[in-house]
Amino acid sequence: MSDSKEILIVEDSEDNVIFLAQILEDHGYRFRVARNGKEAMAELGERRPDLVLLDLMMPRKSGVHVYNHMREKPDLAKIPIIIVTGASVATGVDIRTGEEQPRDSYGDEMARGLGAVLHDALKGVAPDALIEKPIEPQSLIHKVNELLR
Amino acid sequence: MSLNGNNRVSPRDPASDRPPTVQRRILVRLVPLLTLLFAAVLYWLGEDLEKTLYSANMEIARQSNVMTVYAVETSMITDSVHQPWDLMAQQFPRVEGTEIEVINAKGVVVFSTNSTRLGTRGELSGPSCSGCHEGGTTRATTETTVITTSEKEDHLVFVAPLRNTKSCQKCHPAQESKLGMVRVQRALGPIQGYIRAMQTGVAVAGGIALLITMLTTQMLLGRYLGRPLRKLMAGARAIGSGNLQHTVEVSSRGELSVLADTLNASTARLARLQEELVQTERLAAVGETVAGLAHCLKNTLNGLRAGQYVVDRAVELNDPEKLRTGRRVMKSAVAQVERLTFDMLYYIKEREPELEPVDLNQIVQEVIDVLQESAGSQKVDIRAELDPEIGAQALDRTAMYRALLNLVTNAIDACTESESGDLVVVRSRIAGPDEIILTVEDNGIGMSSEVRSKLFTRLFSTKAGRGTGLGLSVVKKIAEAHGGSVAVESEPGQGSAFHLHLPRASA
Repeated sequence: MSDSKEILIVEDSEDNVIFLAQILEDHGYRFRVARNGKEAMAELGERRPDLVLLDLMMPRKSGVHVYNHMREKPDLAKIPIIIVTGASVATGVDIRTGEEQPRDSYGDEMARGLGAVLHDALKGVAPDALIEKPIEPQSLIHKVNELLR
Repeated sequence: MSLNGNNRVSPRDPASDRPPTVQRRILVRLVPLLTLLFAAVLYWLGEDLEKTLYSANMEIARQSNVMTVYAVETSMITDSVHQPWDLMAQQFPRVEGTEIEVINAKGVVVFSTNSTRLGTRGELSGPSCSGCHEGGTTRATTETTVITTSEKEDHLVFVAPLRNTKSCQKCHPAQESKLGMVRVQRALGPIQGYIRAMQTGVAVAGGIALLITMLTTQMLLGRYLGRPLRKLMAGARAIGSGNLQHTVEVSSRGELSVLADTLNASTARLARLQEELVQTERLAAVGETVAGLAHCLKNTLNGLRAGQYVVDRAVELNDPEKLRTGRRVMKSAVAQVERLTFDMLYYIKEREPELEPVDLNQIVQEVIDVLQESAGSQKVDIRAELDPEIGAQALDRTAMYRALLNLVTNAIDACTESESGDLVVVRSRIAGPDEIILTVEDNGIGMSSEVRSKLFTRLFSTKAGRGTGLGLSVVKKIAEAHGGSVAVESEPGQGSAFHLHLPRASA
């Protein structure tokens, strides 16, 4: 049923690409890989994927950039996006809703450090699903299946 | 952080513990002034007294005069001329400073309480007579006169005529209107002296009384106001300098003890708040650290889970190639844990560097060898430009290796994050007789001034999951432990250069 579906993995970490690719392969999905935001744009321009697994912090155009690009293009706007990130705590923005979270004392410090670059950009980013690292293969595939049903 | 920092009070000498009080100011400035003023007022009131006494003297003189006139007339009538005069001579000298004379129409003194003047004749043109007897005439222009002279002593002179009344005309011809005169003289000198003495006495006594009153008040103020105030001030100073355990004990009742109680209550509250603040800050610091570590561990755990997942699948599929891939992923995660662990330990531990003669260039080469492969896979070239003259230096080998590893890893990451970054250069050079500089330079993404300012802040990282946020803090700590420092040059898009300044010691 799902063998015809193709997923675009946008991820700069080699190890994570191996991980995601193995999970998708095990469940019969086809995939392509983009190592950064710029490559992702190129891949999106070349062929429309059925779903995008999107990392947020990447060199050469961040995941937020890719997200905004996709939502602005009418032909890409409907493609489900799953954000895969380890930075959700750090940004002070709830990535599920794109709203700013009330920060506690350490969240503030973290936002200044780890998530500062993303903090402002993330406001208004509301993906179809969010997977936080460390990735739980079962939960990831469950969300993918759900969005591609 | 404590509240002490900003409120430090410079130590003072014990003498200044006495407050520079209003009391003392009153004592020094106001008391002498008030005393003098009070004395002057009293003296001025004494002037008034003098006038009153003058009037009284005048009355005495007038009464004496009237009495004398009456006595003369009576004695004339009874023809016992000498009898009342003898009596008067006996009585009047007792009136101190009073001289009474009866002078007949020829100007001869026929009676005087001063016996030396008896029988003498006054010059009508003389200074004391000419006032009424103009041009020395026997006729006086006025009936009754008061003369005061002040040549030697002040005298009050009262002069009154003896009229030729009907009763007199039995013996004296009627055409003579006056038969002579009575002259009463009072010496004012002794009285004035007395008045002056009294004035001065009253002024001095009054001044002293006022002074004593004020000093007593001051003493009482000092006792009941000054001492508690000093205690309050010492308390406030102690609290100000950070001793929040200090309490002020004031024994007096009233406003000051209320003030002391308020101060004590405020201090207790401040101490409580400070403790809460310290507690909150401690918790926040722990929270930050834990959150940072959790974040880093989450990413490491992701790597381990990825490796494990791939290895599991490789075993199931009996795929040796996949097995190797899985093992590599796991190894890289393990290396990350190792790095985090070392950074944490090095960051927390206060340890003296274990110095030994180390070839710095050799460490650089080791670091490059370790990182060359992963750099190459990301299309980044690492080059070394080493000064062979450096030779052996006294360094902590492990620490220096770690510092360089962190710097070169960062440089590689900076390259992979930029469009065109592809080169990391590590340079060693002798910068002077006492200094060696190790430079790690890249042509990667560079940094904004904001990022640059936070570089050596604990837990600051721009590298999402890959950074621990401790790396550069550790580099800085290692440099400083060696007596050196770290400097950074960077512009966004222009790459970065980290300079590790180390003291040069010829081994």
